[in-house]
Amino acid sequence: MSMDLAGILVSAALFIFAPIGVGLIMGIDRKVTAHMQNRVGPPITQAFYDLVKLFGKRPMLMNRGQAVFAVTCLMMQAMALAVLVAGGDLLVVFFVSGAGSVAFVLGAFSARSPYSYFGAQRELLQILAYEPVLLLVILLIGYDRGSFVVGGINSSLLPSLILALLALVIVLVIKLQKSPYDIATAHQEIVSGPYVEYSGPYLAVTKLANWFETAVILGILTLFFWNGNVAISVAGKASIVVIAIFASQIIDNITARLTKERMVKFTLTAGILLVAVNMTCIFLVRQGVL
Amino acid sequence: METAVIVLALVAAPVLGGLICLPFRGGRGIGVPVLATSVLMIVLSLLLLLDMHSLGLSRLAIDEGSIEPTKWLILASDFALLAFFIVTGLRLRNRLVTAFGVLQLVPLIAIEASSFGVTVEPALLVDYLSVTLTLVVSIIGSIICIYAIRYMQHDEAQPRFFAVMLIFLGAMNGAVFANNLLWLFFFWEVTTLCSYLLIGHERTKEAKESAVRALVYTLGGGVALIFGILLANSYYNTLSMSDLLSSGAASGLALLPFALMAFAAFTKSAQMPFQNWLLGAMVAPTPVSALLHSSTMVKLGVYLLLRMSPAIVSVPALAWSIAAVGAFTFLGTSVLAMAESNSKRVLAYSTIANLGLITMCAGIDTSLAISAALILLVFHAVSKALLFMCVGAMKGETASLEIDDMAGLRDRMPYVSIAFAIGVITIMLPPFGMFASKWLLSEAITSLPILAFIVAVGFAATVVYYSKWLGRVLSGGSSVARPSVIKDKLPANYRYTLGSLAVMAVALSFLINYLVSYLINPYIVTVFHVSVEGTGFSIFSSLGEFPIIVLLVLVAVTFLLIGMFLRPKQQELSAPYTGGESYQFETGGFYLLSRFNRDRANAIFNLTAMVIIAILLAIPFASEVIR
Repeated sequence: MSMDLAGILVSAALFIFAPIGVGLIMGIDRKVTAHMQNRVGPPITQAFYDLVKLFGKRPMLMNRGQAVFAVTCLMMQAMALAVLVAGGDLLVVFFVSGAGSVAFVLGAFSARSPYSYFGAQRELLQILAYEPVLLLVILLIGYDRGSFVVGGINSSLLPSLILALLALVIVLVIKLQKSPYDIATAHQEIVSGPYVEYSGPYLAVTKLANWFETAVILGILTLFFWNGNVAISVAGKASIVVIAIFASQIIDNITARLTKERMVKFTLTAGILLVAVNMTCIFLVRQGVL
Repeated sequence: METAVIVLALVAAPVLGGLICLPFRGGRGIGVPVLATSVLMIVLSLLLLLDMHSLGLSRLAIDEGSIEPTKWLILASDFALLAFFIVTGLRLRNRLVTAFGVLQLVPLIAIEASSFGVTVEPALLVDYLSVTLTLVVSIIGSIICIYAIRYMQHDEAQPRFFAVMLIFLGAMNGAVFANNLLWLFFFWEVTTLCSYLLIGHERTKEAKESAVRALVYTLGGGVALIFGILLANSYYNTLSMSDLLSSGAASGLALLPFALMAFAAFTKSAQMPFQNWLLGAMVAPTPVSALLHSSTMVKLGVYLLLRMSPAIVSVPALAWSIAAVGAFTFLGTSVLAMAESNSKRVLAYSTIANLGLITMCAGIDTSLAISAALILLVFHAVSKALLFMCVGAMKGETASLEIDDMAGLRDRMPYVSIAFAIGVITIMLPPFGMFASKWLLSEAITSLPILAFIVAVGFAATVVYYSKWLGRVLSGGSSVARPSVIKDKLPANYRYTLGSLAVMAVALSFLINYLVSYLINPYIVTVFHVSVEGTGFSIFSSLGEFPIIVLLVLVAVTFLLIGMFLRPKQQELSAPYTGGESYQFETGGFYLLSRFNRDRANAIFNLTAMVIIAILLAIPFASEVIR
């Protein structure tokens, strides 16, 4: 990952602004959802107010394990984003971010609390549902490009990988903890599941980790568009993110929560099918059939 | 010391050490010869690596002439061994054991009759693949033997136990050094014998049944191996592994030796549908499980696959069906492990799954895949031995092997829990060494992308079953206590053996670049182009870059900072949220599949694997017809 000074500056800026962007997106998300439900909703910077307030609170914990894994989770997600914005290896990004998710689950497990325990188990099922699909999408990118290095991608992925993009939207819905797949954090059933035993600054750390995690997914989405002209490139990347978020919002508002079994079955079937069809198309094009 | 002497000593020393153990009736003082032999083996294996490098050897050949009497010793022992199997079969009234014994004896006599007195040169051939295996066997295996000194201290049949354990290690080393195919077969069957004796060690009904089952499966594999050798002798007119491999797989029926050897490897490595013997083997004392799963026995199967994989590059159908067996094994066992509540069975499934990955890599058969397989083999051995030894130590506290009984062990056994956490994390998560192979493997799979669909689901299942187990062990109530590794009342033996493996698992991750440059690549370069390079802070492959050292340092710094600054006070403790209720609660395990679904899944996976293996065995015939 050798790069010049300008490259380092751009990467650093992306690393700092991507999670801030995610915070803003969450604010806009809540605003738009409120409008869909005929409410006014909070200001779009509400997520930042919440975060600052949480950091200012007195730390309360059940045991050290929780804090250790919360910090580890944040660290892993931040490392994943760092590798991504530095133009590193997509597989490394995926696996490191996955390790962050596991750390989060372990944090939830470390407090012997019934809701936290259920939440952790459900979080694992979500991982079982989305991880294979996400990995397959990334492997498909590698298959298509012959390399997993983000820095080497200098044309849009969209034309050859449109079905993979659809599969990514399913993953995004789970990662954003949205209906019908807000299974781990289901408020009405298990009072926000894995988050329930976190409060104050440690809750803020886990929330921040989730921002980084979302930034990683959105970052992968932006790879689907590329143009030599920086302005067009940025505009195209932004519109893919906006469209994907908007799609997940609509899904959130028109669906009810599914059972965990249906989530695993549907996500795996649909996701694998989409990637498989896409892969077959790439293969056939290569063989000169299509 | 002459390098050849080191090689011979690595086989002979454990055998002699084992024999010395025999007179120690009652086990008093038996720790001395076991410890001495173990330390000697560790030193010898490291010396071998050093010698190979300092002499600049890529391979070391030892001629039969220089060790003439060995030939006759092995020949005689081989017949004695087969006679033992046949007698055992008759004594147990087990027709399969008897039949397999006879079916090995007949081809062996046929081979000896046709090529009696023919010298196979070289008799032993040591290259870096052998060195990798012998390091795993001699270092991890020895640490397990040292651990067993404490674990078995109240056992009555210790002399026999340790004798077999040590001979097992010698046989493993012999098998990975052997170039004469008949010698390979001999050592292969010695490991079968040793595993039979060790699994049946406790002499309970269940232990005996499991031992016989293991014997049946692995003897069946031995039959495939000796017929493979017989056919290799007739089609390629050689009994030398290196000659066979350098002539490469031809086509038509001449592919049969390779198909049969792959079949033998599948039984030894407990690939589906042959996994039952390894699952049953968990009745054995924990050190035996650790030995079978990490450094010996099952690793021999994948060793043979890795050894012959360069020769079958030219026969994609054969290679791909091997890859398919591995991939399905990985998926099947990973899914079944999610539904398992017994800790040793989960570990057994995980072992088979990882061997499946190695098998798959051998079948993908590219430079990248073989590199991934070798890294996986090394790191899996360390972490899996550690995990088994932790489970053994936990059993001393909880008197149970059920995962649910391990809840909150963090508070009762902090040292073991931390060692266990290190084991799970190094086997599952980046940026540790095992993960480097997962990453390489994911890249390698792009050359056979259909397998990606199987492997992706298996990876996620692996995360699920390990995480929920680790979560169980690490769960704790309201407390500010730090898990104190010093106050843990663990026997010193466990402390050192668990500690050394835990340190090794982490340290090897930091040293992975050296591992790649001094152990993996020196082998790869003899059969493929090198495609993985560890320089500076990263591992580079032909498709990407993994900044492993950077990530490791960041993780280390994070943990250091947490340890220094995170000190919650008593008044900062909260109680678990229970919705306002004040009753005590206990959470049960969560095992995803019902018994019915589990059995059905098992049947489906077994059937699939059987079909693939049938296809594999049919390929030579199909190839003959097409030709």
